[in-house]
Amino acid sequence: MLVQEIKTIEDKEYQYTYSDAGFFIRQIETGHLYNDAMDLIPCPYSYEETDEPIDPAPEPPENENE
Amino acid sequence: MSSTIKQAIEALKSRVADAYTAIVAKGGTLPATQDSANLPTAIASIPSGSVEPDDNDVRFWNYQGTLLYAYSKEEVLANDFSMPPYNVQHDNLSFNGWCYTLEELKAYVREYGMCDVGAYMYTTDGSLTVIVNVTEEVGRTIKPGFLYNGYTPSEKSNYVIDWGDGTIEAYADDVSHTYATDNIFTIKVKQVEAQDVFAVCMGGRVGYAWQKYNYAFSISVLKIYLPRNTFLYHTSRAMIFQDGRCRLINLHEIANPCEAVTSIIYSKVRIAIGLETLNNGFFDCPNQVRACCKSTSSWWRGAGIYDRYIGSISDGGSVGALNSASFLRVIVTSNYCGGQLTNCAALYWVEHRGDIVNIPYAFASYELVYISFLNCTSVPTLANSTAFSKPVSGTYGDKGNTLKIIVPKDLYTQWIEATNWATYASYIYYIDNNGDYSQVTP
Repeated sequence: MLVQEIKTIEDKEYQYTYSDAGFFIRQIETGHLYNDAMDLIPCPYSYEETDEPIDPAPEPPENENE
Repeated sequence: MSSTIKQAIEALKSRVADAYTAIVAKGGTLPATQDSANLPTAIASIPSGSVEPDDNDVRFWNYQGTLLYAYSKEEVLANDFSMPPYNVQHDNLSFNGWCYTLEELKAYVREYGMCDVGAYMYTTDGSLTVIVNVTEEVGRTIKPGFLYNGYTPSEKSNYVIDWGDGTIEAYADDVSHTYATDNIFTIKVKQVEAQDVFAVCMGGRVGYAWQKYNYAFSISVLKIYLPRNTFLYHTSRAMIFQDGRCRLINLHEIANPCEAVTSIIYSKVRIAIGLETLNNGFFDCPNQVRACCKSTSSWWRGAGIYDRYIGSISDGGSVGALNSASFLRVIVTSNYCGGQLTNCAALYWVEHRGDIVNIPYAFASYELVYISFLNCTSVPTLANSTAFSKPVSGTYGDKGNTLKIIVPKDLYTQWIEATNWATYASYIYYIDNNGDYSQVTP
């Protein structure tokens, strides 16, 4: 489920968006994927939860050196 | 028997050079001829009460990792500071300056409050020098592929090879040589007419059938000394430096050094201060990369490389497991960001030279003081809201440094308002027309 909270950081308020199931979230207007998102308020973006789990241990890129 | 005597002589020469290095480090005076006969006089010249240089802000190392000089930040920034002398005569190696100019050093110290400076040492005669231990057991035929076919500036016809047993011949493809006896031989590859770049290909193997680009230097190679401006190239997933017997001195660039070198005994490999570029390399060979940085174990501490940037990482390359106990500075030329720098515990300075569009991983585990994105044409997507640790604390924070995220001036306003970047607005800077960091809205 997509969760949105208001967070205060250094006296500024931000909109914090994340998936409570550990999935990437998609910024609908741009299509970009995020683990979580912190935006200025008012937030110009909307988000949706994807079905792609966040990989906690990404593999390094394949060496293309041949 | 002759092999044993020769080995003993070579070892003695190295020890004498090491002794003179120690004399320099203790403030002694070097004689014009640095041989064993003059050692007692040189030792006697060490000032009474002299001690090893303190571990200070700015340190000067020789290529073996011996600390020669140490100064405070204030001493280096003083108007009358000059770069210290270093004129120890190492066997077949000459001092060619420090890896920083005085101006570079002062700028660096002014910015970061510390610096490690290493000595450039190149072969005195301009040759690529490879010292091999030839034995009948391994085989007495050597088929080195010393020169890189594809590197235009260095034509193979411009090279000659001295096999070290009295045979000198023009270099040619598939050149080979069979030694008559077991011994330690010094092979020299020289340019007939000096060119800007000495192109070296890591091919060939002692004692085995020709395998181009494979098994470049196996157990029989004891040392490799490189000339100035060496371009060391390798193209395949072969086993160069198979058994870790090689010592690479002052590499300037390793292009595609291959990945299957995990068998390296890294305490025996020295990649000293000259290394400024690691192109697409050392993927899946953590021992090799650790050898550049690891300050524990019997490794030679990298002789400054652990402070200099480790190198540029191009597309497809990665630097992982750089668990250096010291400072680590990296230039990333790739348009890809993040995954190349896994487990780089000491990472503190990252310069991105690519057009980064996405940062999928967090830097929060690093005490970064500097990360730049000056070639970005748009604000990169930052996947994590906690991508950076802030404020910087610990070693670098104690020196008064805080995180600086450097972005293009024309993207600054957009950058500090972007998703996941907004909370880092107070750490984001652009470079103004005076070359200073600025947070004034352009």
